[in-house]
Amino acid sequence: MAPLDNDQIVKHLRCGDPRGVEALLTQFGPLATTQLSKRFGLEEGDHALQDCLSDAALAMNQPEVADRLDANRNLGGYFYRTAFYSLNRAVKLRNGQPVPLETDHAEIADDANPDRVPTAFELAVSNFVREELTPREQELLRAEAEANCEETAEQVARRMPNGSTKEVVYQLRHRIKGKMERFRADWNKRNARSLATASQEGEQ
Amino acid sequence: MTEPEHAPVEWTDEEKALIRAAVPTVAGPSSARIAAVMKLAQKQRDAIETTTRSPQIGIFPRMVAMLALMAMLAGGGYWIWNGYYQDELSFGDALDALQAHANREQRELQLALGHIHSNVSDTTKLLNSRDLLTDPMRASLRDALTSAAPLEQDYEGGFEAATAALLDPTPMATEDVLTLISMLKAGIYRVRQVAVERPELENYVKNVVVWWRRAVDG
Repeated sequence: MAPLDNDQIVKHLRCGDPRGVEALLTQFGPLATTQLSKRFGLEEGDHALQDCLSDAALAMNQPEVADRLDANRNLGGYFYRTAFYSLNRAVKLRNGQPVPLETDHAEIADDANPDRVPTAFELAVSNFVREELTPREQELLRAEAEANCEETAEQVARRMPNGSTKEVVYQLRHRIKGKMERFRADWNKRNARSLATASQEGEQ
Repeated sequence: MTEPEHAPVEWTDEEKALIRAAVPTVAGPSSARIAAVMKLAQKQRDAIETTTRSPQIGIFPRMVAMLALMAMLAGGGYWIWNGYYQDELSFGDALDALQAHANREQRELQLALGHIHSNVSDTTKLLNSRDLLTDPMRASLRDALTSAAPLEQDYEGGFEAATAALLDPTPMATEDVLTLISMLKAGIYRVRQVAVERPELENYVKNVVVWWRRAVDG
């Protein structure tokens, strides 16, 4: 399924179409899972980690929340933050710490803060990686990210599933760079256009 | 010249930052989990709609309800209109109500006071407009209004007939005018007397007396 843009996701959420929830989990779920597991030091299959994403999607499916969502803002960021608060509570409960009783996870003042919410561009890149790159290119990027981009080509090649060579790593890097450049140009163009449309609407 | 594909290449700092921030290293929710959450989302919305949806009422029950409402409004209107005219007092009844004020409800008392107030004012104005008031008559009315204590005056009935005669353009005998004035004075006496017996009405009566004086002075 092609990724939906923010407008489409918000429309689905507002009219109670579960495709909105599906899009939140599919498009923003993988990056949110990665970032949250790093932030809270959790394993990939941790139930709390999985549940917090479901909680966030269901919270955004509530009519009073869905009606207030702004499609022009960072929807994925909002999803991440909502999931963050939900996970923060779950982790606290698990550790026997007190938990505030407010229900709107995204708006409460909590003692923990998401240090860094993914930007709309980063979320778009995560979708680009999933949708536009070949499985081998994805494997390379994952290996690079796991090593925090601090390893040499040989080390990365060894880290890749089934192993590889530094030449293949260089080749994949070249391809990814090319695709990434085109994606960035498209993104900039699209954003410039939507900014122009927004300002025209504002003037009208 | 195009760079060969196998040429060594490193990520720029910007690219490294983007890879660290934007490349998922773990899988997102499984498709089974997504399907389960979608079902939950649907249930959540269904539950909200069930509890908040307004009941569907057909056109026929709505029309019946509308007609019933209109009938109730009409009935209420008639009841108020009917009640208003039932409350219409004769001058004598109003005087009796004031005389026996201790046994009357506040609403009845107010009605009686208002009735005498308007009747005395209107009749005095009418007398003035028909030039039927002579100076001694005016003076006697003023006395009734300004004396230190209310001047006692009996009422023997016939106020409505007398005012009806006043509305008739035919000339009116002085004797009839005097009778009418004595009726007005009876009204004045009774109203002023109530204020003496019920001090909470004093201010109201003072205002009424001012109005009457203006009517007498023309």
